Amino acid sequence: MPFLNTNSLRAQITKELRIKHESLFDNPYKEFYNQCLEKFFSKQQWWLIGLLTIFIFWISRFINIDFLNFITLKKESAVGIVDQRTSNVATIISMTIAVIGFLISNIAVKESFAYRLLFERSRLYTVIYFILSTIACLICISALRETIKDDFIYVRLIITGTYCVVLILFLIGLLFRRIIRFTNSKEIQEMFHNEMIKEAKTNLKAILISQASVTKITTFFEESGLTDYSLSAAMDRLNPFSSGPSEIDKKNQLTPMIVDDIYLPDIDVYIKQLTNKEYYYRNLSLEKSVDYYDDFIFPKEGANLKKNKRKLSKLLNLKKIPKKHSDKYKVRTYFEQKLEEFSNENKYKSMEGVLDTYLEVLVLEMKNI
Amino acid sequence: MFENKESVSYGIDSSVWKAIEKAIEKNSYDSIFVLLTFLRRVYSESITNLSTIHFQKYIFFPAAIYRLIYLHKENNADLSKIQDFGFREIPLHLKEVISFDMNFNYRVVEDKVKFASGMGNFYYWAFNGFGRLLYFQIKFEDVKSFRNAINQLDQCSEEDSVSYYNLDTQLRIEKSKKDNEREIEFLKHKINAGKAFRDYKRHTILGIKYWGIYLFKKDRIKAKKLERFLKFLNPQNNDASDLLKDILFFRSGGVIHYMGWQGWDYKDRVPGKSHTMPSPWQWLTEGFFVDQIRNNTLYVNLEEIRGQDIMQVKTLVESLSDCAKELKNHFEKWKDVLLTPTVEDFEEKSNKLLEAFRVVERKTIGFADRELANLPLSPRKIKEFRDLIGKAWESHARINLIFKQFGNLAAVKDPKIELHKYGFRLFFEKGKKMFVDGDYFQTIYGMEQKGGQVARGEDSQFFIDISEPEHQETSSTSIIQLIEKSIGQLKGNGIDPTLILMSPEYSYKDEGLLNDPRFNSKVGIDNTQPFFELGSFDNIPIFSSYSSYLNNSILVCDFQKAFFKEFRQNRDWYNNELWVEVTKVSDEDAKARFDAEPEKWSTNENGEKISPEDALTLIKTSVIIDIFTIIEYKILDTDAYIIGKLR
Repeated sequence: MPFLNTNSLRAQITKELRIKHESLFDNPYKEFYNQCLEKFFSKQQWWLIGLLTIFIFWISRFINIDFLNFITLKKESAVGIVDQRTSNVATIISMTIAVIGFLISNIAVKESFAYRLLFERSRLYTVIYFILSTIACLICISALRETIKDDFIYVRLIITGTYCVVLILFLIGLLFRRIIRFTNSKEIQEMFHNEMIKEAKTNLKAILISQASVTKITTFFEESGLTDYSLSAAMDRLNPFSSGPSEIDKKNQLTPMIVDDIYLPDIDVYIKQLTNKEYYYRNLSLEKSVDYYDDFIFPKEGANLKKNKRKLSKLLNLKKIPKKHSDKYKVRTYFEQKLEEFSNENKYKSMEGVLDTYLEVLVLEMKNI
Repeated sequence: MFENKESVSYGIDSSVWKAIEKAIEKNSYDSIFVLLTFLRRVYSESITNLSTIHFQKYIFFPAAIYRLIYLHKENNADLSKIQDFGFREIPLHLKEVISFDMNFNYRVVEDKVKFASGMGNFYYWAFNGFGRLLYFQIKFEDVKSFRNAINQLDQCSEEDSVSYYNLDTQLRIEKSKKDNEREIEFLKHKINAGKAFRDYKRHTILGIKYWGIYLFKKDRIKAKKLERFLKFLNPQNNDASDLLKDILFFRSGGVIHYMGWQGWDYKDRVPGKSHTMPSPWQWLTEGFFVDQIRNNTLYVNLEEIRGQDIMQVKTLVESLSDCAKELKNHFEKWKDVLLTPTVEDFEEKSNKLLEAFRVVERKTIGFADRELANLPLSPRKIKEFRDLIGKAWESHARINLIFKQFGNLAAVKDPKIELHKYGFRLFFEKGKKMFVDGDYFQTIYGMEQKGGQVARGEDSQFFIDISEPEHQETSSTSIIQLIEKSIGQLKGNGIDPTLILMSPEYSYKDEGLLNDPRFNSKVGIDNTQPFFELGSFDNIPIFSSYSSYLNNSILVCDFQKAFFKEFRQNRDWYNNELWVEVTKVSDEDAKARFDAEPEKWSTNENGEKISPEDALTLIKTSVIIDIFTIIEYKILDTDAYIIGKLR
């Protein structure tokens, strides 16, 4: 949650941009909530769903909610039910998968991008993970029927399993509802449009944050009395007649990383600790990929000590460069392909849809750049 | 055009262009219609949001579409429907962008003032796009489309073009009221936008006209064809009073990237081979001259021409004379275009035109002088001048540096003590242009010599002063002997010499000195020593001075014992020591100078008689420059120095 860190340059800039570009930003809490939801529902979170399901079963023995306590079971009955529930869920999932397969085969736009969107938007992964986790739990409960001696705990587990099965039915209903929307081409087009605008907004925000950070960081360094490590300064340093050793050549090459956040007050403390020597700074900005994150401030004569390098690298928050850089513009790339395809096939009505989306992106840029 | 890859819209333009290419290739009328509609919406949204980032890119699409359709048409006869549509719609779209989109948005935008202030920029790009379309049409010799495009261009209007004077009156009325600054600001911006509209429209027409003439020069178009194009660009399209102003603007430096003219070329170049693009500066001038010979439309309105433009008139006359010579040499080729049946007719017209310009030149020189005479002096330029003179003085005033080196000098604060003033007052004719800001500023080179001159004078004064009282003297035929004798004589008097002063040329020219083991040259060896220290002789430092008094003489002395320097200081002077002042010529000064030399001032540089008023103006384009140091050299002990003369 960067907006909670007062030293965070990203938080500071985002706060300023929120006022200036109101239409581009949501409420910060809503934005955070959406980010969390997106992470939770992503296909990589299978383990989280699994753990959560186990947690639900485990916590059931401690929960005592009156209106859920109307089911009374004896252990003998519960032992009989557990196998039934397991087979119920297995049947449900096989039916569900069959129906989903049928629906997917009848999707209005049969393209990989549409499928990807369908899987993401319908929360299919999460539902399937939950069903599988529930089955796994029920199988374990079934196997532990003799091991768990406490009748209350065992009955509670069975009751929880029953509630989970009911919840699964509800989730499958929602899943069908979401998938059915994908059989309507207009709805899909609208989703594509929204995805493109969402992508453009995300990228535009990143661009604005990066631009604003350049000004702030440069001003900060200049005011701190540091000199810009410009081309002429670099040439001077490499000049064999200059007095300082050329440490730049000796610098170990680091893996480039993206600057996610910078803590200027901490850098200020670092600069104040420096001796009276003159120092250079290298250009930094948020969202910039750099390989000198442990050496962005260095003395004009000589090089940074190892301990200083360690300190410097801690003053930046770094993130890995995404494997596919074009991922940032995946929706736009899809639209480009579609427009080419439509114009090739003389589908001028479909072209209108793409061009409408393009125009909205251009207007977004006009209003904010 | 440079585009940031990280822009959210990066690639959209090329995606749209690819779709356009496909649509034309497939002869899809509907697709072209949809794409043109998209372009119109981009223009409209750009104008509403006052953002030119996309407007300046997409405004060239119509011209590029025209070009593409034209090139496809040559290979595909089936394109007639799309061709008719494209050729008809493209200029119409451009006209509507200028006439409707821009004017309509005045009524819907929230911030009228901001909108009006940004309009000029949109007009520029819109006419630039129009110019590009006309460029392709004339390149393909497509007379029919050209006529249609010019018709549409003629019909382009700004909302208040007919009521320019109403706006002006409205502004005057608003100014008389209170608390309506925003309305005044809006009207001012609107008037400026209107002016921009008219200028860009006129320049678009003139540009294509002169380009057509250039194509004829390069044998890319036949005279008859050119005539057909030019007849659509008839003189009533242009306001003759703006012609001079326009040609001066076209020849100014700012036109290099104006209207995309730098990219216009008369033939398709082979990629990979170096070539020079036609210079707009050149073809616009030639086109202007040919057009003037054809139409005789020049009307010189001097009042509207300002600053740098006036300076351009002189070079314009030279260029036009060159054009006249070239046209005369190739008269047979040009006679149909020039509309002059005989070379005599041409000469008569061209002489008349050139003479008109020479009149302008003469008038403008007077005009420029009048403006210059009334301008105030720039304190920044005076300071720069003072630093320039000061630095030259500092490096040449070697006696002063020696005094500083030995420390036998003191500043005199008591104003009652009188010191000598060394330097000069200069009446610098026509020198004011070096000390003003703006268009009339002009650098005059070599002024730093004045600083050196004062410094040498100061050094010479030192030698005059030390030669006056009774002093020791010796002479010899060689420099070595002279030094030896001088040192010996001083030592005989119980004086230990601390300095030898001589002309710098001995240090590299006199073989006797150079080969003497006692001479230790430091020139080019020891950079830590003052640059004027030539070395040492018998461990006595040798210094140099450029004063002519040292040509055949040397000075050997105990410098501290023999001399002392007193000087006046002032915070406003260079290094607190050199007084440099630049003052303008007052009315009284000017009159006094005119009265003193009426003959001299009554003639201008062309040898023509001028009125006394003009003469006073010319005098006031001069400045008075004072460069002085206030110092006094004191001789403390005449036995402590000796002057050696070389026979």
